[in-house]
Amino acid sequence: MVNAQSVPFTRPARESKLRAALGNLIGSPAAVVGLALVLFWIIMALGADDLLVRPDCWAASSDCTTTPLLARYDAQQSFRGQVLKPPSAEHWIGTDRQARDIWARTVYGSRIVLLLAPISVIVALLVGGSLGLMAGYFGGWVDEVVMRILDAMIGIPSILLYLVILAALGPSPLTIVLAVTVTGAPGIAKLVRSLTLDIKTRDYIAAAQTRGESPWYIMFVEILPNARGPILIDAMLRMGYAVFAMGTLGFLGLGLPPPSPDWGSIVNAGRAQLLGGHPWGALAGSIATATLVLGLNLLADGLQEQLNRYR
Amino acid sequence: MTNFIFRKFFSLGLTLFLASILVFFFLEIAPGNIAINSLGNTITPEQEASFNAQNGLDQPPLVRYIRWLIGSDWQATQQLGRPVQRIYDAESRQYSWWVVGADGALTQNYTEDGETMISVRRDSAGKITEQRLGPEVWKKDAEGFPVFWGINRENQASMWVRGQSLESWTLTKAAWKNTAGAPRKYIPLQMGLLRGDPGVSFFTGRPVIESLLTRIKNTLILAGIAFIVVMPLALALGLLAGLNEGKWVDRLLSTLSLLATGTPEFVSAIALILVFAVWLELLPGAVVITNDNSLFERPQMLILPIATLTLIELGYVLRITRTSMVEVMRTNYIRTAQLKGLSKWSIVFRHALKNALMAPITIIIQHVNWLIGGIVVVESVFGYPGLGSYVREAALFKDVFAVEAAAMVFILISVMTQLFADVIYTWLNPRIRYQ
Repeated sequence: MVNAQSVPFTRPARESKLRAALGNLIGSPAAVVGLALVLFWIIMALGADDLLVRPDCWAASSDCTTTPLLARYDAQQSFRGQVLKPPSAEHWIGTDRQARDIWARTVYGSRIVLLLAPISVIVALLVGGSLGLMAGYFGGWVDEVVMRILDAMIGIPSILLYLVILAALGPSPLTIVLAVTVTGAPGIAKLVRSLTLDIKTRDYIAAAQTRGESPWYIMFVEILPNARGPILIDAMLRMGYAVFAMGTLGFLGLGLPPPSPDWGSIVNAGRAQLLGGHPWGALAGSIATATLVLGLNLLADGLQEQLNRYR
Repeated sequence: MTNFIFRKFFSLGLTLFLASILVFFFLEIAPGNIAINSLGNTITPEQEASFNAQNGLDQPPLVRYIRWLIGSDWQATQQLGRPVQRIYDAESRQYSWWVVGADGALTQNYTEDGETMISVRRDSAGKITEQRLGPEVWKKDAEGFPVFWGINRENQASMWVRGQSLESWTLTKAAWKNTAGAPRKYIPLQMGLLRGDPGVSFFTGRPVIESLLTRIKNTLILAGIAFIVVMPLALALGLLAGLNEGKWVDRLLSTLSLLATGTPEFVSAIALILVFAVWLELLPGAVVITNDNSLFERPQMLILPIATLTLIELGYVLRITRTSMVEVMRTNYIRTAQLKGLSKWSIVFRHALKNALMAPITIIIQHVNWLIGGIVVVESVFGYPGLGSYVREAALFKDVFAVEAAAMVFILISVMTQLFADVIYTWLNPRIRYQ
């Protein structure tokens, strides 16, 4: 009964809020460009083959055969006699050293990037967010200890942490998620802490404390949802960094092991032919990374503008 | 001010300490087998155990951390009852460790059968003589075994047990070598990172410090030139944009700087190589070092690496400078100056500039973290033999001691510059000085 009553009230309200938010976002040209770039790669990733039609293929079981759709070919398919060919009607941006279609690899690579970047940012958010909440809410020695350690970690250049972690644990999706978490969490924690310190002084927190709610309830139910705006924008920027970092690692030869088609590895493989007049591999991976990072940054800027408007 | 600097020094020390734990933890303690990484996955368990014992990798983490940080020679001195000394042999370019005898002579020891101990003596002129020692050198240890402590010829303080001819495995250039008469316990001798000896690379077999020093020098040259180029350029362009707020110059510069900061370093580098080295064929696309003076003989090799670093840094600093200039131009004292009828340039140069540059100058120095990421990528792209490409190669080959040392040097540089930036900022800006 309660649900039936509340639905007619909330749905239109939520829709109009969403429309207003989208309208504001569309109002800023930078955000539109950003959204378009990010959506382009999301569509490419989703539509690379007909996985959407056959969802059992998402689990990457071996008996699943898919027909490449937007990618045209399979990322690992090798074409006899087509080594290092320039762009043509068959191979839109040429072929690489192993006679694989670069366009297909780039499109399949977007799937890896768009899967790993959000996962690693979410893990970093969980770790950093919890630390920041605790430091901000409890204060005192918890705050002092956590913040000293996090400040120290921020002082370490992130590229070194990436290199150290990957050298120690070897390249794998898990290691990359771990590396992005270790480098991202301190920054998130500092942000969440400062937001918590601000929100902690509000009346509704005092009300919850008077009601006798547990600190965890207050942190995760009262404070966290009210700090979501800045956290969301920060997460968007961090997604950009994660894509950036994954590209850099692949480029340095420390990305996912071959024959993975992640963008950094495509650039790394194409780098050797750069001076030999076959820049297509290096260009494809570079442009893909740059556009996705740019898209995410512009989107974050757009969201920031919108948030400022509400303030 | 003293209090402030003291506090900063404390946090600097803490950062370095935590960083060293983090680096050490990941590289040496976390799962991942150093023996297999260094020797390949075809080694037998005996070979692995022998390798771990010889390099002290079988010790508990705390012992290994302390040895890595402050060395192990003092532990060896305790066991040997004699001071030990490290000497550098200029001919083989290797360090070696010796026990200092009562008469000042240096000795190492070895045995071939676990019974007859042979002493290798090195006199002050560097002449080596061997001498067989009698059975009286074996001393009973706490558990009653006849043992002998000395330094073996692989620079490890070692404990031999009489009558136990153990086997040790070492990987030489040609093949695995199985040596009899091996010690039971080892303390691999090193001075420790803090005393300038990060250990011997498992990969090249050479002291890490040797390659590290030239690499640091090369990186400082590259980063120094880039810094000298970026600084005035970014400040000038930022001021230009800030003074023309909202006009087309400002929009152009702001958009370009946004693009430049958002672009990954390797993308900028590849774009520059493609345009200037491949299409226009104006500049070399790689740095080739054949001798010590290569950089000075062909300085054009450095243009593209520096241009890439400039591109990476320029956008960020430009934006900070622009914002700072815009803010300063809106303050009351500038308005007063304008109302007083001072000329525009007099206002900019005599009143606005000093305050507008305060933020960007510190930001540039603080931004060295970012620059280090750029340096690793740029050096790797162009094959420049600096610290950045060194740490990358070491990471690729899992050369543990090399990664640790290079990472710690980078972290030290980064933390020191941040301290420097803080001090400069407090000195420039009296308002925050005594908070």
